[in-house]
Amino acid sequence: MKSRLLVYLTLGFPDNEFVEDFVRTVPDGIVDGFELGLPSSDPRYDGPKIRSTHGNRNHFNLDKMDGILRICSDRKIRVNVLSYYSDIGNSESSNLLALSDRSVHEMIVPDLLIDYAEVADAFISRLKETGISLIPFFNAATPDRVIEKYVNKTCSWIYYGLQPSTGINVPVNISDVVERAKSVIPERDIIFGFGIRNGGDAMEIIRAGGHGIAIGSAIVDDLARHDKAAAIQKILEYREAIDSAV
Amino acid sequence: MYQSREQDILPEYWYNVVPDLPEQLSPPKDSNRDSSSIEMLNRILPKKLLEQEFSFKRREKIPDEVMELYHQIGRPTPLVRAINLEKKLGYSGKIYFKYEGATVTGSHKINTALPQAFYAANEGVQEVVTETGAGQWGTATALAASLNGMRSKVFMVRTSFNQKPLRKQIMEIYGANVVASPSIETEFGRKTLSERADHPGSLGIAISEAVEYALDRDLKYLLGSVMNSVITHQSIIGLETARQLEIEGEEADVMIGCVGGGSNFSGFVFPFISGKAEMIASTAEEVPKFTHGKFGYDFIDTAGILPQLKMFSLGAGFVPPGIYAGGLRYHGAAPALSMLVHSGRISAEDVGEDEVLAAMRLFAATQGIIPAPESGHAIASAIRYAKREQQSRKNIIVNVSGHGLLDLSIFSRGQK
Repeated sequence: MKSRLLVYLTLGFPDNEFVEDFVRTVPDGIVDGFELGLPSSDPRYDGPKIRSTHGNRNHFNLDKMDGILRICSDRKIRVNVLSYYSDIGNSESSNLLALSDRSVHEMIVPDLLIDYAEVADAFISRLKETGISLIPFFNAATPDRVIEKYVNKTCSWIYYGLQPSTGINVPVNISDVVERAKSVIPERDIIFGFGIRNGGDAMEIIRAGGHGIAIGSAIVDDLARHDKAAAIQKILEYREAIDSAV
Repeated sequence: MYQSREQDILPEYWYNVVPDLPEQLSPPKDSNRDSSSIEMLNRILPKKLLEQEFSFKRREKIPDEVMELYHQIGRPTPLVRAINLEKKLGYSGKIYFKYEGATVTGSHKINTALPQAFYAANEGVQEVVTETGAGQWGTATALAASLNGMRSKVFMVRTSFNQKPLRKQIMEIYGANVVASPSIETEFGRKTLSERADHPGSLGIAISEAVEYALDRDLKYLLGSVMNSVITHQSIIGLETARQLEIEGEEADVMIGCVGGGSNFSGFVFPFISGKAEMIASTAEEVPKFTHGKFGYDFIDTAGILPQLKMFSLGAGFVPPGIYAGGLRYHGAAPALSMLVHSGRISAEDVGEDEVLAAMRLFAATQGIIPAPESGHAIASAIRYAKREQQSRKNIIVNVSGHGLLDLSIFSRGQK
C-alpha cells in the first residue's frame, strides 16, 4: 500500500492567491492530502517556522478557504483542517457547520487532549453533530490509557507527533517512536509529523511501519519567498523517500 | 534495622511515570518568535539526557558505570522503621523513613548528578555548569563531575552562599568553582545586580546565570530538579523503597515528602502512583506554590531563556524570603507532579518554620538523625498525619531527602 504524504499549509500564508496557485500546481499523485491550519494567536505546539506563518489574521475567515477547497475537490485531494482548541473551542457551531458544508470532514485539534482534556468528550460530540471527525493527535508524552480512550472514541486515522513542537529537533529514536505508536494503536493508520527533518527521517518512519508522514516546516521558507518550484521540489524529495522505503 | 547490605534492593532500571499518567503531560512551550528554546536545549544538555526528557519508555536501563557509582556513594539507602518516633507520638501504625541523607553527599541529589555527569563525560565534555539553592545539588554536581573527570562551575544563590560557607567549602574540595548568584560573571547577573546591589538571589536567577554561562562557553548544563529526566533518575528512591517494603512484608498507606522543584518527592512516590497509597507533598509556608500558585505555563528560569513548562508556579520573578530551607525556595514544581496535585491524586500542605524546627528536634531526639530543613517539612507533615490519624494503624512512609549537619545554625534561630 502506498504511503501517504500530507502537506501542512497555514491558511493565508504567504497570501491566499499564492496558496491557491500552489495547490493547483503540485503535480498529480504526489500529495495525498493538505492540512489547512487556521491562523492562531497562540500556536503553542508549533516551532518557530510554523509560528512565523500565523499572523493576526481572522482564523475563521472561511471564505479564504473556498478557492483552495474547490481546487482540491477538483483534483480529488483530501483536505483536513487544523485548529487549536484555544481558538475554535468557543467558536459558534455555525462555524463548524460552515466547515462541514465546505466538505471538510476531518479536523486536528493539537491542544485538545493535552490542555483541554476535561472538555474533550463534549467537543468530539459537538464535532460529530456537525459531521466532522476528530483526528486524534498523540505524541510521546501521551499516556497509554489516554491513547486507548480516544482511539475508542474516534474512527479516523491518527496523527502522531515525533517532537514536542513542529519543525524542531531534539533527539528521538524514530523507530522506537513508531514501534510504540503501532503497539498501542495496532488497528489504525498512523501518520507521523512534527519534526520530520529530511527524507532519511521519512524513510525511517515508513520502514518502521508508519502509514505516512506530514510535513510543513520544511517548506515554510520557500513559501515565504513565493518560491513555488522550490517547495514542490522538496515535496517531491519526501515523496521519493517514502516511496523508496517500501 | 538497616537494609543497605541487601544487594538486590538496587533496581536495574529507572522508572518514567509519563506513560502511566492519568492525563497527557503538556509539552514545554516555546516563547521566542524566531527561535526555539526547546531546540536550544540541544546545546546545553547531554544528548542522552534530552532523549530521556521526552521519552515515552516506562523503564530506562541504568548504565553499568552509573550502577557502580551508585554503590560507591552509598546506595541503596536505608529504609528505617522509626519506632522511637512512633512511641513518642503514641501512633498506632508504623512510620518508616527512607534516608537519602546516607549518601556521601548527604542528599538525594547525587542520584541524578551521577548519570547526568556520566552522559556529559561520554560526549567528551570537560566542564559542566549548574546552579544550587541550599547547596545539596551543587555538592552532588561537584562530586559527580569529579568522579567523571570533569571540572564544575556552580552558581550558588547568594542567601545560601552567605549562610552556608561549609557547603561552599565542600564543593570546592570536590573541585568546583563556586560563585554567589546574582554574580558579575553573566549579563543577567550584572543586570540583576544593577537593579538591586544586595539582591538575595533566587533559584530562578541562578538557573538563568548557569544556562547563560553554559551557552556562552559551549559547556553542558546539569539539571537539579523539575525536569522529567531528573525525576526518572530519582525514581531509584521509590523503587528501592518498594523493594524494601516488600522485604519487610509491608505496604505503603501514606507517602510523604517535601517539595522544592519536586524531584525527591516525585522520585519517591511515582513508582507507587498506580497503587492506592495516599501521597502528601509538604511545602514551605513561605513558598506556597501548590496552595497559592497558579497552574499554567511559566518559565523555568527568571530570565526566560529556557522553555516554559505547565506547572504550579508563584511566578518566575518570585523572590522568596531567605528562609531556612533553601531547597524549597523555587517558584515552580515539576510538571508531572503539578498535574497530579492539580488532579487531586496528590495532596499538598504548607508547613511553617516553627513547626518544622520542632519536628526536626523531635526526629533528632528520637531517631538520632538531624534532618535537612527541607526534609524537616516532610517529617512535620508526617507528625501532623500521625497525630490526626492516631488510631488509623496506617503505614506512613516518609522520604528524608538529606541530613542537616551543615544547617545547624537554624536551630539557634529557632530557640523558642
